[in-house]
Amino acid sequence: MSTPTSNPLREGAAARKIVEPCTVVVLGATGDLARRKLMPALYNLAREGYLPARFAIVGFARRPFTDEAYREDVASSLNEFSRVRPGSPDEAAPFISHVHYQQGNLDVTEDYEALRLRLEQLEKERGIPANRLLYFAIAPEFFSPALRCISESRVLVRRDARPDAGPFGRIIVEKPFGTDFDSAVALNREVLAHFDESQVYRIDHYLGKETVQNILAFRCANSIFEPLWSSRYVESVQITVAEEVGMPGRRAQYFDKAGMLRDVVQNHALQLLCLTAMEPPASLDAESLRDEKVRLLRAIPQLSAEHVGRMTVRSHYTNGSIGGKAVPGYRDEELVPKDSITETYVAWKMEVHNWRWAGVPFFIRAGKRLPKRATEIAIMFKEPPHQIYTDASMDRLTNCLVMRIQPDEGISLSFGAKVPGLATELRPVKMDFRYGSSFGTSVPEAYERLLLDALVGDSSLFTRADEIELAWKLVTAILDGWDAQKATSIPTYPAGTWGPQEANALMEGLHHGWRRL
Amino acid sequence: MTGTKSGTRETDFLLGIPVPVKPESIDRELSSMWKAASGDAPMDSSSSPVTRVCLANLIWIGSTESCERARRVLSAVAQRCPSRIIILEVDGDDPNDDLIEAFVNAQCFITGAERQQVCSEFIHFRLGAGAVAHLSGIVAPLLLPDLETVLWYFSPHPAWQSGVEQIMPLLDRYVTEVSTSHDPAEALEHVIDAHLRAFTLGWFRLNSLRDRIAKVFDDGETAALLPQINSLEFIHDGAPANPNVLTRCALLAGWMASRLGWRALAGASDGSFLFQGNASIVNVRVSGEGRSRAGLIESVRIGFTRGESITLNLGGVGSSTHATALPGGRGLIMPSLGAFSELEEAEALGAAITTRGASALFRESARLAVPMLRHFHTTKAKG
Repeated sequence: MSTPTSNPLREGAAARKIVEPCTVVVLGATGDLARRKLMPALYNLAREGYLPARFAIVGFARRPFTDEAYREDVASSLNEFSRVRPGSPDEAAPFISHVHYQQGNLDVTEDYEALRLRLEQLEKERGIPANRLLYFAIAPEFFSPALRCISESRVLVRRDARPDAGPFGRIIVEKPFGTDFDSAVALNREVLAHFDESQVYRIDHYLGKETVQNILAFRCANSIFEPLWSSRYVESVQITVAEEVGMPGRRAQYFDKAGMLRDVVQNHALQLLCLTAMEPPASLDAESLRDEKVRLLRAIPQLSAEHVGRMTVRSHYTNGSIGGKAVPGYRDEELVPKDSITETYVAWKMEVHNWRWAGVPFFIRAGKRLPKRATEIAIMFKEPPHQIYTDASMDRLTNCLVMRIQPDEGISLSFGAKVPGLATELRPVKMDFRYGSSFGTSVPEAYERLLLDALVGDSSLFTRADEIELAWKLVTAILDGWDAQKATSIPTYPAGTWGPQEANALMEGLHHGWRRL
Repeated sequence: MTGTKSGTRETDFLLGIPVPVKPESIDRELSSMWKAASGDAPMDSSSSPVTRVCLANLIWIGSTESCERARRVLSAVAQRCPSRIIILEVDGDDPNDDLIEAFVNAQCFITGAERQQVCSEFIHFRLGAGAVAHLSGIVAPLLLPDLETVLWYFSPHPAWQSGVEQIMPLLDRYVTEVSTSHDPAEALEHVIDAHLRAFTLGWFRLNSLRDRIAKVFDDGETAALLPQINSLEFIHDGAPANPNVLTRCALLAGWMASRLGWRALAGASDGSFLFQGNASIVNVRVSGEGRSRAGLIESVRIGFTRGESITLNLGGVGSSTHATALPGGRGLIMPSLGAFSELEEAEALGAAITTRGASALFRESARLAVPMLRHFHTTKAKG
């Protein structure tokens, strides 16, 4: 990885990530992910000067595009999906000129050999060393064939992380990384049979969000909160990933096999939990960060089948209304089986068995067709040990620190303040920091940050093999517990409400319930 | 000050119309304006909630003639760096004129998915020249604690110097514009020697250009050419003797010299300036095309000892980079990607407020720019 100090003109200036000359290959280049996220992200990186002069992008997919036809497709995706749209074709032209296309099947080694020859030719023409980043923007069923073909055709070869190991070769894979613990372990084994762990970048795009990165900055760059960040002062933690949407288009086909626990909790919600509850790392390097996340996950006990029933609630939505419009129930959505018991809502009460968090319940809830889209982490603090404001007419006040991940990104702290006047009355007030207000700059998309990090070889925002497996272990215990229940139906909640009544039982014994966002 | 009155003081305040207030009770008046704006006053029911945000105290001092321009720039700065903005407009030259008038307004913009109004505060003083002697007493009580305080002072006036010096201890950062001085080189020396973090705004206007030039040499192959630089030519579109652009060219060259370890030698009779570079003498020249009054740096040509050169076009979107063949016959690079033109004044001022740790780099670069600027200024002025 190039460092700013190797270019003396960068000395003394703010550190900037420098990408070495390289080629980015997008497998599945004509799919939604490539069009909506990857190409726009690469374009915005180029616009902001992060891509090197010597680079190329090669799309690889089955459709019979020429370079020209694919470039037109990419140009139109930039106009439609880019965070900053090109003002004119001329503006995008310098970027587009770096884009190429190679037709091929994702599971045919000969097609990858043709891809390798094409890469070698481009690298020679453009003077690019054989640094290659392969993005797997493909359906899970193609992972294994693609890995095998890449390895057999030597598009990428195994390299370890030593600086003198030669040109880099990296792969980026999207979730789902497996469907349960066993499949995740098998997939990891398969990937690591072909490549070194240092070459593998497993994306959870939540980790690329500005606000998610701010969790660590908030905890570790400020000394005032760390003393409060433990069972001594924290009563409970609630992590919410709420979606307004239901099942757009063909999404139900994938989702009904997965469910909310696999689709959202196993990855995004558990990553938020890790960043909130882990020990501060010794440094910001990838291994230190990921070591602490793994340590945290190891401290969470797996639920037995009996405990699954008491500590989790699963549910799906029935018809209701969102934003004033009537919406159908989950089983009435197109492509959802009428007898489906796939959960669109899950609530999970968990414990963390370590000195910092013993006795503090952590609650995760994630759901579709909830009243609004919102992702947040709420730290609910304990009441004062001795309450001198005991007027029965006053509501209890809860000190609550909320990190809002999306939308309305920011952090707020609620506390009680005396209402001006002759009576002794307290009311909750909120101190609020909002990203959008305080920083006038446009925030990069998560994919821009993640792609840039993969290009410079910084894996701190990507998940490690053991991290993934531990997360799956916890989730698989719940899936097994649910299977053991042999349920033919699960609780329901009307679309547009905050979930099933059954979820409230998880909050028994606490003086507050689920936060109403 | 412009703006039509619309109704109540509170409404005018939120609409950005300066509302007269008593100078001795500005904070109290502001408090009541914000309180009214947050819901107690009779506001339109469709108004979105108002959020007051403040990242810095930003002070401007200048004459009535330059006030309108300053307000425009400060309004633009407020959108990217919401601040408490204190405008000190000095009206006239009469040292016996002790006038102090004060006006306040909010500067609001809509942001975020929830269409929230985010507002900065403007406190505008109209001062007689005699009142400048009491600047500290005017400004000090109004500075919000725990925030950086920045003074933007682009047209220093000798009569105001003692007043400005009174508020220097209150400042964290001082931003001027040396090119407006009758002797930019001398003004730049004063900035370098100032005790606090002082800058000339032109330095921040060059942020993206420095990045663009550095980017060419991020590539290991081109980085190897750095020790072989033997010429720099800056081409701008202003008049040859335009002090603004001469200052910025000198700062850019000074920056390169400081990073690459060059030593300033002397001005040459052809108007260029010579440095002792790594492998040879480096000849730095500036050429003006005379097409515009403002003057923007359009390109820089970097020459190497073996005869090759790289020309970077620095103006505008999608501008391209050319190169001649390098040893080995392979051409170098490529289209430039993205816009790398000089920052607008408001952007530059915003960067001046928010950039951390720029002081050492600026000083080292400016020290090397001073003799160059002195030489350019002298020879270009002679024509």
